[in-house]
Amino acid sequence: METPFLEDLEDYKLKEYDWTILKRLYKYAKPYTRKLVLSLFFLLTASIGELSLPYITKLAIDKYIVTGQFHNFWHIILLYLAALLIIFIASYYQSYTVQLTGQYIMYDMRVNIFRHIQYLPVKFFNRTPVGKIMTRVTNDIEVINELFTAGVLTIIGDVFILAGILIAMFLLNSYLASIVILILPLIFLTSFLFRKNVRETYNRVRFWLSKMNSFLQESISGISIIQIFNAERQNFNRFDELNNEYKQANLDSIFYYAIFYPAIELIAAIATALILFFGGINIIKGIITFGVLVAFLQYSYRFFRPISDLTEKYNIVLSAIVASERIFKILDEPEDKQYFGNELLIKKAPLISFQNVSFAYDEKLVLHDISFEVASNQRVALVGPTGSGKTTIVNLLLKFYDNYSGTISIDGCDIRNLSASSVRKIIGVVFQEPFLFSKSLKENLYLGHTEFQEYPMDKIIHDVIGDKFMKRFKNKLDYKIGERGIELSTGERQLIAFARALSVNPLLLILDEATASIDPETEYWIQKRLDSWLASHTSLIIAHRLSTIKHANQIIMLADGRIIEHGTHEKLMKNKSKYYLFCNHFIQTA
Amino acid sequence: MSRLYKLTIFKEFSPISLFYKENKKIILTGSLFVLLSSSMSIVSPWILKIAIDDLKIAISIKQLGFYAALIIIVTAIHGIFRYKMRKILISLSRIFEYQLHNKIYHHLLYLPQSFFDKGYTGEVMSKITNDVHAVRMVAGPAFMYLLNTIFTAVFSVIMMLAINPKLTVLTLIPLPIISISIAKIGKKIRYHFTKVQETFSEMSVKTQENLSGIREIKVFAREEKEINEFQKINKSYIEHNKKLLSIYTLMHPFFVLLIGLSTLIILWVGGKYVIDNKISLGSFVAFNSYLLLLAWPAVAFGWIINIVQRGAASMKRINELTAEKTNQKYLKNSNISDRHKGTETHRHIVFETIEKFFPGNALSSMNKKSDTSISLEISQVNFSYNSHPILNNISFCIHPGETIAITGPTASGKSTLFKLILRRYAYQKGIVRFANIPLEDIPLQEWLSLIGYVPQDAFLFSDSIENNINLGLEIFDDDYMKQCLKIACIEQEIMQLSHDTKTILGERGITLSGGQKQRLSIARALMKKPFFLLLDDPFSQIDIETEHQLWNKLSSYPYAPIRIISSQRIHSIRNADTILVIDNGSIAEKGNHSTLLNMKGLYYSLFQKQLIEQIIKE
Repeated sequence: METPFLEDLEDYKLKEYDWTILKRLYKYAKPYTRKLVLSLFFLLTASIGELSLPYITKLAIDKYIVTGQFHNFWHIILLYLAALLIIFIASYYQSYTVQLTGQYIMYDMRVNIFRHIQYLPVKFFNRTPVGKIMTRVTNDIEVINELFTAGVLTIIGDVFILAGILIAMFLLNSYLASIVILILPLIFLTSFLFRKNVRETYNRVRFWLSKMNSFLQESISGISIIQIFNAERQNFNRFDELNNEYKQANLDSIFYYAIFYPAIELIAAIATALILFFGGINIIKGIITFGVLVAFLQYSYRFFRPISDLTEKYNIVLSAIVASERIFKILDEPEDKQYFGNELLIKKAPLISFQNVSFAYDEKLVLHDISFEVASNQRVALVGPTGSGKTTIVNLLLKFYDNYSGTISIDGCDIRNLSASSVRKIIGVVFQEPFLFSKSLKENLYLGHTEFQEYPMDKIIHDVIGDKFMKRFKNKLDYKIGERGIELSTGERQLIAFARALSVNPLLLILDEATASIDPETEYWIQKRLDSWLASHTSLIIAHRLSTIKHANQIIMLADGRIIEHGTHEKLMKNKSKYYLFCNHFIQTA
Repeated sequence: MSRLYKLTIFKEFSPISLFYKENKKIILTGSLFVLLSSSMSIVSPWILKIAIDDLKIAISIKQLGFYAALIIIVTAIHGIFRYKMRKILISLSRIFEYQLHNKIYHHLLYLPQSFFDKGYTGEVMSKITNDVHAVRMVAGPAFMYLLNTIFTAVFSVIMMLAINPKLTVLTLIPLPIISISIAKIGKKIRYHFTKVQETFSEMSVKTQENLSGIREIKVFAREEKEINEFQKINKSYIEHNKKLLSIYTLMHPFFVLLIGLSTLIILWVGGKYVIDNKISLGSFVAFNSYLLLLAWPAVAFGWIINIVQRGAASMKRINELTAEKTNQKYLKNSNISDRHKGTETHRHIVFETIEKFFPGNALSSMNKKSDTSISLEISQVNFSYNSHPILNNISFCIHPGETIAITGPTASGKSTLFKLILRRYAYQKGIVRFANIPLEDIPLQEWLSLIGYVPQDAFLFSDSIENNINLGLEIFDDDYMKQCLKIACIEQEIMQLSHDTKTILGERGITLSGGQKQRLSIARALMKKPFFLLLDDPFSQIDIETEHQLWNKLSSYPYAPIRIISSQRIHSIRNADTILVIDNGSIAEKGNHSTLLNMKGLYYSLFQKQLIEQIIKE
């Protein structure tokens, strides 16, 4: 078996500063630089507006209130109102633009990762569970979105306000300002200690959360075993243990949060006390005015909010980094090289050839030195017991894997040099278990088309599906097929798969046990339709029905990845060989 | 309309109110600290007011120092109260979260198979993570801030009234606008938020389907079209987000504006009052501080509303899950809580009968070979799944000491038959009896404790080998475990591992080969010393030689007097006492190996096919 795509628990540990990841993230923001710069401008405008309010208050107190002069006071009122309106407009515009830009960036990321996934090799899908990829495309990207909505720009804004307040304070009174500055180291120390401890508990929280989640996931997939073995209580106890660890980690982090905010407030109170004391002395001495004192008190009030804000946003940034790391891991998966190559330009049913092809999914060879040729308009039947390598031959021809030895060619072109899409475009395939999309019948039929054209679909519906089955679909092309075509019988699903494959007018038709699990009536119906198609196409058929095999131009019999017999039905039957035995017992003669 | 909506919110949140009731004392203490902390927050501005007023007249430096020190002390006390309130109330919400996690998981463990068949794994996962998180936010932070908001608002308004009632009324004029706009905006936000969520899940569905059908997408060279369709959904996601954001981002600036208008009124009217000597300068400054204390609640209120609304949606989803019936249809006589109790009388009959004839489920202690009184009898059972007929009129009977084999083509209904015996599903017609008691009358857990089951896919957990093998057992018997590992022919391989039976397996036992997993799963079934051994295609990935050894060892396994095996490999079943050939859900042939061969029917052709397959491969 191929090694699974396991998630390391290290993935959940936060790395403090990972510049390469931030740089990669920045690439996504780059196209929106103009918008971001604009909203930064509005952010700064709003900040300046906010900074001006205490100063206007100071003017009001010193010029009018203390002096008792009410004449022209409306100037101040108008100024204050103007500042408020500027703040309102600028901050609304800013937060709307930033959040919307965040959405656009998420859009780009999401489409980018989705596009990337479309072109990943089949191998990737064999080893990566669908759920894991889903989380990347949806949840992880949503986490990064937080970085934009709550993070980045507000951080810049917070820093700007801090600087602005300091400058304003120095302009008002450098003596008082330098006293406030003395407080700064205390703040930095507090938030440093807080960050350090919170990060530690935060890692623990994430660690146990992810353990709990994978335990849960496993419980759900193994629920029948748990219930049959009466292990509900046992499993519940294990879950309880994990849940308890998670709770404990959270409780520990509460301590730090509970102590952090009061601590910052206490520091703010010390600042207020110092301003009151030294400011008061200066007022007594007549050095400063009341307005300056009040403005200082208001500035110091605004000073501490951004600091606790900044500390809180720290976690958002960290989790966004972790999420982007996981997203980039998928984006770093190499795209399928097979999509690159020459275009295959053919108009007629092609000649297919396998030369000395050997292949292993991982270590064990599943095809040994396979060589055969299918001439134009020929029908080749592949027969053999299960696990003999028939489907693998189809997979190689479809360019699902490229690590085989030997050569596979179409009309003399080595398919290694051809692009996967152009090879697949000439091939119509019907799998044993076709996947139908939960869309309308029409959309399923037009799977291989870029637009809806009535011809040749009308003819195909008439020829392949037929009136009787169209009635089953209520004669409606927009008949909704349930998820994975669950509402339909195997036969009905297979009919759609046939129509879907033939509608692209393929030059090469591949049927991989396409009629194996269909009821006889439907099979007869399909068989009748098929024969005329097969006559005019090159086809590769894996089947168990004698009538299909018998008329093949050549029959290739495989066992354990080797061709053991090769020839026409008559020739092989005459030899009374293994094929003869096989026919007698495995092939349905009806 | 809005009253109705409020009512449903409260109804949804009943798990929270129940939890609060259970922890009344803690909630009350926490609330008390919220009250104390709010009351302390109004002291500092008052000190400031006195200090400024004194400054205006005359004040000694000593007195000024006293006021400054007082501000620090008051804030320190305030801090202690805040610390306590946070510690108590937020911790309690973490305990609530913990209990809710446990409650959901516990419920999940007892849901019927039919629930899991719907394939809601992703949804259940998101319920237990995202939704529980959203609900905890309501139970903890939202509750705490709501109290804090109310208390602080009340205290601030009282202080403002104490300074000047008329100014207070004038200042508070913009505030009702906040409440009204919250109610109006909240509704719109909820509407757009649902739209955004819907599109988001549409996106998930698209991705999910794309990944499941990736083979078809590649074959039909549809990659670009898929990308286009994905882009389309994403575009409408952005469109909905645009509408949401245009309102949502308006909220905060709007509140700030209204608060600003209030400060404007203080500046204007309050300033005039100072000039007219109606209030002091200190009161003017303090009034500003109290308004700022009010401003935070006003903003917080919007935030709380938002959290409560998201929490209500999440709580609803969780309640839906916990309302899923654990009550299983096939337990005709019991409801949820009875699942483990069952009817006492029947338990005794089953166990007494077994104890009488087979002390400890042991085969060796069997009295009479064909004691029909405790045989398993399946008569005329019909089963269809989602109205697809799967089993049709199945009847057979197994007596202690017998091994029955079931064979037939793929999808003929072999595994389903096991699942009916295991009571994973309820059959629609017919009856299954054990010791003459209908299975439905035996409590499920008691019944399952009699069965050792080896499933088709050997599901192992990412736990130690030891814990995997002892699944469901309370006492670990190491010697017996080694014995079982020996019978399952895996003992040597395990002993070679670095931590032998303590080795931790990867997710779904991924570190082991398929054959190893199957043998471990056989050992796990043997550990139970069961009365029945159900082997569902247990050797599909085990080579013939090992299988042969395994059969030899199993024949001397002292327990499980009734054994049922299903397999498509003739050599696995040829020695069974009775072989049932199932085709298309009905028993087509019945007999032992030689009689079935003589019939020259389905069994014969299966046998021939396998012989020839052997020849071809050689």
